[in-house]
Amino acid sequence: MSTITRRKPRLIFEDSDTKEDLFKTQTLPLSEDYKDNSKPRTQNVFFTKKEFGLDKMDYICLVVLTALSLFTRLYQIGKRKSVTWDESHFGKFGAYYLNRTFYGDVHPPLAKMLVGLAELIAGHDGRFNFKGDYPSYVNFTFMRAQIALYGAALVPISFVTLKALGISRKMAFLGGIFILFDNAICLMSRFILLDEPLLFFTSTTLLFVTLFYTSNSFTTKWYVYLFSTGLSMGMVLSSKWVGLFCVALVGLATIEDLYLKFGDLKMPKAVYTRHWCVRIAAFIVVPLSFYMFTFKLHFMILNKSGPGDKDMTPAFQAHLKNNNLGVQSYLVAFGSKLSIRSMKIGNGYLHSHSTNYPSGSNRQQITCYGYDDDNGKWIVESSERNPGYNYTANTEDGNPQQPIYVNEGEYVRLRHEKTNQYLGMDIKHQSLVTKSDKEASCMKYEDAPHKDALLWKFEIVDDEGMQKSNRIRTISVTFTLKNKFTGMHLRAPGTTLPPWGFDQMEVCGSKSTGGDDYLWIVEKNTNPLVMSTKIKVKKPGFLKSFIYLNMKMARSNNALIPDRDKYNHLESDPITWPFLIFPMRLLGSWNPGDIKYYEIGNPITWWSSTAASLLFPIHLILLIIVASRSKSQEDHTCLMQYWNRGKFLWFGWALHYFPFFLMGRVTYIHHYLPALYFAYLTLAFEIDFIAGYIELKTKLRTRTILFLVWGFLSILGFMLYMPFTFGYTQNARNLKYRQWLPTWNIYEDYHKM
Amino acid sequence: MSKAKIELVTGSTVSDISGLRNRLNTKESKTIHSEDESDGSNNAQEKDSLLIQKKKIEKKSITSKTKLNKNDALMFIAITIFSIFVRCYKISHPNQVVFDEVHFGKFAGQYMNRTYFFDLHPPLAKLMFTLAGKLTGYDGIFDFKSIGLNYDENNVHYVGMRMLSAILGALVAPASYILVRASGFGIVAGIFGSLVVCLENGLITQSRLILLDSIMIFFTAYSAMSYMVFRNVTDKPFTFSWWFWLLSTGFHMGCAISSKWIALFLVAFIGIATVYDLWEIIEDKDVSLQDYMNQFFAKALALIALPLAIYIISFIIHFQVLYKIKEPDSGFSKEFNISFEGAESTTTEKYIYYGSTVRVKHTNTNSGYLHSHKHNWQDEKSSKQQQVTIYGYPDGNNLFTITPAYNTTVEGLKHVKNGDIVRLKHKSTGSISGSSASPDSKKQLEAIYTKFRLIHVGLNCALYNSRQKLPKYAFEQTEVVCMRDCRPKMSTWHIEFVENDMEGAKSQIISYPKLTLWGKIMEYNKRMIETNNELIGDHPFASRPQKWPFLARGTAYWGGAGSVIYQLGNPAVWWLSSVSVIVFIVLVGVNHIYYKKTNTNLVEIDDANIFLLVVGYLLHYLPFFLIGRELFLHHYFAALWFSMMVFVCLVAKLVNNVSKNKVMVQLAVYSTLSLLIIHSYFTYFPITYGTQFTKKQCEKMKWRKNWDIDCSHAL
Repeated sequence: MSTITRRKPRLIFEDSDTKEDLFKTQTLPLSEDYKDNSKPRTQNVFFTKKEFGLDKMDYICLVVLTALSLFTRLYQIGKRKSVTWDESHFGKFGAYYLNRTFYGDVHPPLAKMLVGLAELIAGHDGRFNFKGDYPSYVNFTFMRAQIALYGAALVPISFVTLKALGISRKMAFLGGIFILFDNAICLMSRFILLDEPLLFFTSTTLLFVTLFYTSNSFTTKWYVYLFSTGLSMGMVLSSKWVGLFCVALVGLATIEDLYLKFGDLKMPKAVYTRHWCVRIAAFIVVPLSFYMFTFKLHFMILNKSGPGDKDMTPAFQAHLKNNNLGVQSYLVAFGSKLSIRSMKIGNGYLHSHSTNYPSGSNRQQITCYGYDDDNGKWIVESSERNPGYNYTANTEDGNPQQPIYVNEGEYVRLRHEKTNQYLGMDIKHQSLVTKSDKEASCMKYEDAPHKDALLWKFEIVDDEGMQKSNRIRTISVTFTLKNKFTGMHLRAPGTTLPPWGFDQMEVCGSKSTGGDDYLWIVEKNTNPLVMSTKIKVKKPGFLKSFIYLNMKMARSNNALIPDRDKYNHLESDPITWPFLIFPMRLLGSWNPGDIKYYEIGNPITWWSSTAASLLFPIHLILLIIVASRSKSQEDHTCLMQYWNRGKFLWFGWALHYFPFFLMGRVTYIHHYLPALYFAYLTLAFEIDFIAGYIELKTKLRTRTILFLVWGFLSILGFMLYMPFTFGYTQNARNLKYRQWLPTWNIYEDYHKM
Repeated sequence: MSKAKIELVTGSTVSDISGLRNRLNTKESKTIHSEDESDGSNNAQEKDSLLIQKKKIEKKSITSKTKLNKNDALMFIAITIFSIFVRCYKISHPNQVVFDEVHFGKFAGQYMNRTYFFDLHPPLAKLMFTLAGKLTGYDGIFDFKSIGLNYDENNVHYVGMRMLSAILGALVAPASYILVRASGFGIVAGIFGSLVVCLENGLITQSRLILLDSIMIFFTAYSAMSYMVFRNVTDKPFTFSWWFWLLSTGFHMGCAISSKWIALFLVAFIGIATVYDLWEIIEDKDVSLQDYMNQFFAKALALIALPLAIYIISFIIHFQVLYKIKEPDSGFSKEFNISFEGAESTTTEKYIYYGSTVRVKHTNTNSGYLHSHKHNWQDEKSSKQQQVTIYGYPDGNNLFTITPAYNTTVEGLKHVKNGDIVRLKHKSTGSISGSSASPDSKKQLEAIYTKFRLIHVGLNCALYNSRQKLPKYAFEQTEVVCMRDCRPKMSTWHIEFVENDMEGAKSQIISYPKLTLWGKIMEYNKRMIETNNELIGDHPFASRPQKWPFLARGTAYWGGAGSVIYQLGNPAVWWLSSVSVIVFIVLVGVNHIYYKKTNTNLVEIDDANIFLLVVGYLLHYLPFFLIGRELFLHHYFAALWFSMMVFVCLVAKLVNNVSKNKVMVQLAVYSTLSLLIIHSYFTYFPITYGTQFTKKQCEKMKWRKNWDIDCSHAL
């Protein structure tokens, strides 16, 4: 009656460590945790011997791989003596940490701090701004070499990762060779860029998460791997936001794991809860804290005013050394010339210019503009004096007037200095973009629809000043502006005006308040009657600056939009990456004599890694079909092995690749490198699986044969494109037979005019 | 394994099944493990119980099957008669053009006059209206110009077209009966299902007018129904009924997408259901590989090839009927336009010489011709030279003379060749702009057929259509720029018109080639996509998808003396249906978690058929969130029908689970629900049929604040 096969099952996977029949003693690993540790299980989820360790042969492999890796990454690394490719950005950013000036960038700080560290060790003092040739006092070779070490570490890490996943030594070695002999990964490791720290932390995350799954729950090793994974996640996330895909990979694996444990009826609730708690601590709390920690460091190191000031709130800027917002007139008095800034990120300064609205009231436009120029200056006038009264001129007897300070709740007029018109609001006209709100406009005093239409009241919402009072103070107070006539608040909803408004931001009026839209701040205040003093504003808390900067980064990231009308020789669409259709020249000048670097992968292995990645889901479905049609245990085991081992690699590839299709920003081929890392490991895994299957059926030594063939091919591919990896000085036309696709621009541009 | 199967559809995939399997395996392997130590009797027992459990699970997967019989046929007829009565009551009222009848009535007229028109919907439903109109005496003279025009005064036979809509709308009710029966429920549940559909005021309103939706929903319902019946015969492949229901699914699906593109959601639904069923068969070891492949290809034939063929045939008929054109449609290419009878054909000489006068057209858009006029650029930073623009219509100002660049006098006739460096001299003002064509091979230029780019020699940039409107001082014509590294799509031009007044010029007259039928179909469909994407407006009754399931607001269709037609559903039906979808999803989730811990179900509602219907609902609803164009409440009707079916099946399933006093409970549940629905139907009767109603009645209808029924019309 039993339908379960009782014959001795065969093993499809060769296990490099044990030759014994594992199946006989197999207990599946899902319900072991509650057992006492005296009888540990013998296998882990990857169906290898439980305790993972490397033996002597493995160490020899590691040494060989590491030596070759160091050689390929470091050979002639200082050949080109000028700033190459994005070194101009990232080298410069690193240098900012040395001269401690505040800068703005779309990437989180960790990788750039590591660049800064490398520069520090190389003896750089932050003087050179990474343009043109390296001067003699910059030891760029040493800098590059240090950064290259991150890239070199990928190779041994990939070997250990594959070993931990239970893949045979030969194939794990082959996986290492794929990474070692890929020209693109190698080339990107040879300059001062962020890619290699990113790749390095990606690979450590994968390594630790696989090691985590090989160890027994709640042992010391398990905890070590667990928290190392969390820390690696934090590091990859703090290098570039694409690290989120790494986090997603670990997250998905964890959800699956916890879900399976949930169905484990024998696991006590307490143990299950404990599993949850440690994972939350390690996979959420640790990475997030580390991410914030890097920003804390970032703010601590960069304490001088610099090119990135504008990215931060005025209060933050006022606390940067040498920032000119730090010392100016503190109290706002009548006659003060103000720059008023919207607190909503990306809006900028309250602005007007001598162009009218095309419809509605047809009065002069009010907008928000990103820069503080002459059109963004406003003069505060008292409602009690005539328009245009000069508050700062001397009185008739020649003495300077006393400054009259502006208090909260007092009605004032705001005069646009350049055009001499007043900020006003009219109930009659709806705003031209946000239809639900009313239009704000600039009008002449005589043209106002009502005498109150030009009167505004400051209502303080937030006071960050050292001392509180009801005076309006520069930078310290955040306020709303309420119009007397309409009772509405001035609002900048963050919408862009059509071309008639020069794509500046809309400003309108609305009854309600709440949200950043309504908040304004005086950023600059000039008044000859009020002494310039140090601005007495509290330094914004870390959390506030942290959130503000991150929002700003997100906005700048989304603003990098490609121009679809033009051919661009550098940008490429994600769909072309797996097929290596548009490799990229790292330099513009391509003449004989120039040292030419060409970012092209090893086409042979690159294309086969794509094939392997595309094969995985099909293969998986086939195995599920076989398993669901068969009653034999071995088919199920086979499926489980395939799934448990392959999911980390394939999902790693998919998660690092497919989201790029959803991104509107410009994309470059080196964005594919993290996905490529996973694709190479998937390739090694697939070859191992298929070879294992063939070996079982035919007794052929497939693994050895495939190892030799693929190893040879990847070396061959690397050799072919090696000139461009190490820097080619002769005429590129010499290598024209290595142009395998018509779209490659090895010796001439594809898009000719 | 019904658990595992349902999980598959939800997408939790492998880990799920393997999780289940793992648990079984764990137990098994442990059994094997401990056999050496004990005598094994215990284990054998355990193993047996395990096997029984496994079998039980497998048994559950077989969905309940129904065999339709004679009674069902009788019920089908009875429901049809009742439903037609409900839809057709006073169908001639109002005798005015209502809402979108203005479009679809007009299109029927155009078909009869056989003059070409463009509409963003595929032609089948409109052709059906035309046929109905033709058979009942509509002659195509009345042009449905505006809403509110009186039919009787204009002597229009409009009832026939409305009847078509009403009868097809009515036939949805019996289809619902069959679907409920085919999903494994009894006759009572079936009748209840048809009642719910029959008394849904929204569907009634929609199907009493000349609108496409009722036809589209008719095809959708019959396609889904056929598939549900088909699921009952999947274990008897290639029998007559297997083929019949499969082909019926494909046929109705094809008709649905040929009526409205919204039916693409139906295609997704049938596609997913088919994949799901194919996956079920794969696990069945009795089906050989050969058999499996045969089934696969049969399904591909019926569900892909057949609908596609129907879609194409509908367009072939469309273009066969419409062979005339009144005025050129500027949204289409010249080639498209001249493929119709009555189009002006542009003729030109073929060869281009130095000294020829040419008119240059932008190839890939319909922006128009390279143009210049006696006005200069005015912006501060501009060159202040004479403007060059693109202008949509041929006139004297877009004629240019081709002259060689370096040697202004040409001896004899010389062809202009690819790669030559030329100047284009504006004929009427004599200004000059310099250019060269791309230097690939020395090919002779020919009018119309040669597509080229114009490259500026000095700057190495190509003449490019930026598609931007110029300001008023340039008469809001289209901007032309010179761009480097631009993609060819917007920088490709051709010469549409050549005039040679030199002696000895070979004169060969050519014109644009006519498009083949296939070419016309392709271009028409491309334009449909574009128009659909461009449909952004601010219609006062447009709404977004989140407003639909709980009926936030209706649509006003028509207002007359003492009566209005306001498109609002039967609130009882809408709310119960939406709630039941949510309830089902929640219960499945709860069940799933409960099952993981206890191996038993909390509530017995797992049913593959209901699950498919929920998937159908979600597929007809959720994609709207991704669609940016203007949407209306009537876009929800297909989803609504699925949700009604979920509602009925869920009620039937829950009632089936009752063990005590089954008949009494059934009676109570069905009668309460029916009364509620009937009450709600009669409450909204006046605004559905446009009958007379009082202010008091009107105020009573406002169950929700946002329902802006215009009570000023009421008596």
